[in-house]
Amino acid sequence: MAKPPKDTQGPIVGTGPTRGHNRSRNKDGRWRAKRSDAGTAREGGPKVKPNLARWFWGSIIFMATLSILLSVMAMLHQGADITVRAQDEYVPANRSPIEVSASELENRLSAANLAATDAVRRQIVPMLDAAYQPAYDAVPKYVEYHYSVWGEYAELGAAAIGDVGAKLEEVLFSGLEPRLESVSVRLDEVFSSTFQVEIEKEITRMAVSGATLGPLTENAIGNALRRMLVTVPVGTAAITGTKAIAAMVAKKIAAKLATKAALKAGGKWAVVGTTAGAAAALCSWSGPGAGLCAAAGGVGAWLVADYGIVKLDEYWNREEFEAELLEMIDEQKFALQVALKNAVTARALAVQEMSGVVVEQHDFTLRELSGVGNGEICRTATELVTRYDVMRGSLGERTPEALSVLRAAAAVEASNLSIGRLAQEITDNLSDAERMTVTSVEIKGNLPQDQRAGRDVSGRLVVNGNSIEIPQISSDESNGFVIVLEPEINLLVGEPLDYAIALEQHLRIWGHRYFGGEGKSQIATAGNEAGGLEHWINLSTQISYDEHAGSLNEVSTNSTVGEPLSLVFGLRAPSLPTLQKVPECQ
Amino acid sequence: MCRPIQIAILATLLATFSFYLWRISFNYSDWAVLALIPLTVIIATSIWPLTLDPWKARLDIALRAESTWKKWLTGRLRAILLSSAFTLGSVTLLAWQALRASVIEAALMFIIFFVSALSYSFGQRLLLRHFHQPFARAFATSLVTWCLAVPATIGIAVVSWNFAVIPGRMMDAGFQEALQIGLLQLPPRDGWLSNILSVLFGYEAAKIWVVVQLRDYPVLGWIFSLDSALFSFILCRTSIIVAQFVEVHVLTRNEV
Repeated sequence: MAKPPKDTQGPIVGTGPTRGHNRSRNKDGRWRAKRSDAGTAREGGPKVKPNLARWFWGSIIFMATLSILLSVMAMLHQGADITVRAQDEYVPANRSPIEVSASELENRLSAANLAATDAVRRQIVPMLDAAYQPAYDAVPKYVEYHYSVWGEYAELGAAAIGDVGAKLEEVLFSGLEPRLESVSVRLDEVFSSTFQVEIEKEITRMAVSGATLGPLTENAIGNALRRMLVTVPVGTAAITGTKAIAAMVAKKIAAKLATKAALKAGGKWAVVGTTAGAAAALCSWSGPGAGLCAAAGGVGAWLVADYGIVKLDEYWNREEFEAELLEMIDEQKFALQVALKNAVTARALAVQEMSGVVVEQHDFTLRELSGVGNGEICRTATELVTRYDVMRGSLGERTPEALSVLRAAAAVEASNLSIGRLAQEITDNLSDAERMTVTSVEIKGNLPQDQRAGRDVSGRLVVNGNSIEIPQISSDESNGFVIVLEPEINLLVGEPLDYAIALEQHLRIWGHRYFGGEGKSQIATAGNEAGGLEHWINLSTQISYDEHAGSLNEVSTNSTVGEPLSLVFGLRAPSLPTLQKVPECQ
Repeated sequence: MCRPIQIAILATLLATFSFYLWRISFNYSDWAVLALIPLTVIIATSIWPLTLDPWKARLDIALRAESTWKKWLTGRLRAILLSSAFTLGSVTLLAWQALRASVIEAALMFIIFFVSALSYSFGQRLLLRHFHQPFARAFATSLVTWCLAVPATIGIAVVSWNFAVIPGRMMDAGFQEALQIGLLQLPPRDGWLSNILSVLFGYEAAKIWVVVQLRDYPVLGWIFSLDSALFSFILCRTSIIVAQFVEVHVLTRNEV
């Protein structure tokens, strides 16, 4: 049993289960020292870490749930009715402005433009139908007038002074001009209102989702809307006036009248002559009055004959005449419909171009801003412009390969914010780059040795299905002939060139002789030494005598042997337009 | 599933949900800041040992056992300062980036975050073969941050240079107007959160204004892009710190 501390006088334990007791002793009897690590955890013991895993998982699950909930609510918010949304508690009181990017703005303006164009195109036919309906309704009335004695004389009188159109305009086309003007104005209104509605739809959609357009985007859209209103309105399209329409229809009617008048006159004079003779015989008892009696009989007979002929004419031709009138009005209406559709297309293109300008002014990237970016863009633009300019003034440079490469390069840059418009302009301008015209053909040679007779020759040259008559020219027995033609045939660079020639030798006593030959080549303009927009192609063929042919149409041209002929084709290409949308590069 | 991948996925999920929730709720209320609290706590919890442990280890070696300075040089003050600065700075900066990032930039940030967390896990495994803790963890953090943040900065700078859209009105704007254009990106409410973020948005707008005004010096555009991309260092480090939290507290293992 250990002695109490007061007896041992040893150190006393302060804390723990042995509190108040003496410390224990070592084997050598010394009191044990206080432990150096008292109050700290023992080495190797388990570390007590707070359990944060549950808290971590809870956070993730809570935030995921809330994120999904808010996203779903935002989506529902977007899709529901505006008025319902106005009361929705999730609609924030303060709306955040959103600045759309240039590409987004361009997409929205393009979509609005497309919708407006479609809306106008759909309206053209019904509006024109309504405008022309009174004209269609008036056709029977005009036909009635046309097949009356009075109408006939009035038309003949008007035709004599060249004014058949006045009555037509009065009866058929009365009020058509203001109606057509109203159509073009209404089409412009449809375009503008649809464009605005499409843009407003987008703004409303954003407003519904709790955002408003930022001032920059708002300015850009406002600018686009203002400029759209004055950009190539449909109303500026060349709408044919009613006077012009009446004149065109009248011209055709006048021609018919002239034919009819000539036919009727003979018959009527015969009736009048016979009737006047009979009247004179009947009134011969009256002595000197017989002449007057014959004249009165003649006038009466003229009118009766006229009435009869008009009625006969009506019986036989009324339906045909009415159908012709309707057809003429149809033609005019269709021409106007095409003109209006073209005008709408022109407006859509102009608005698209205007949108491009607005977008360019809207915002930019650092690359475009900086000299390095501009330098790169300018280098690309310069390269495109240089390649285009080379082709612009030289037909020889417009090879199919070069055109294809330039088109591909322009297509790559089409979506570029800075030079997309230039690329589009190049693509548009290149659409006619392959076209060229055969302006002259020189055919030099002689007829086969056995058939030479120093007589004139004539004939026909066929180039890619286009026939050109060769006029009669003299041919020398030793030097042959030189034929120069100016055909104006349109060809395309790279397409095959098929040509055939048929010649006729004009003999004096014997029947004419016929010769034929043909050739095939490729229209290649590369290596044009002369440069510029004109080019010459040297070709050759052989002609041989076709003893079986009785005319030019019967000449066989597929001979591969014979007398050689040389053909020189002169080609000319139109100059391509100067590029207008080249970016400003220093 | 491989443990490093699990760690990277969990770390990325937490950050993504935090910033996404923050972004969508910020338009409505300043209470959106609550979405950042879990992330803030996690960063603070995780960066504390990362800052303290290596320092304590160094002190144990450097200080004599009987030194009276031992009770003062514990490294706690340093750890408090560094941890607080990093936690507040990184959360504020990343929250600002989350607000202004486009979809492409957000996707890029997401990828960088995931790759950083994954690389850290693998990197630490490798370094543990050669170093004791806490040095293996500290070296892995530094190494992965530098190895990933440098290319990430360049990548974000290139994206920013090519695609970041600057309002057209900046071209003719004066300095005051430029600041207003920058501040227009904030919701029109006068909350304390907007006031804090207005400093960042205003600073950004001022930088853009300078770049636009000095557009004859293209190098400034590059410097601006690089400067804007420097947050990727913070992004990588934050990713690693969150990954450490997941490793230590969520996917715990006896030997760790």
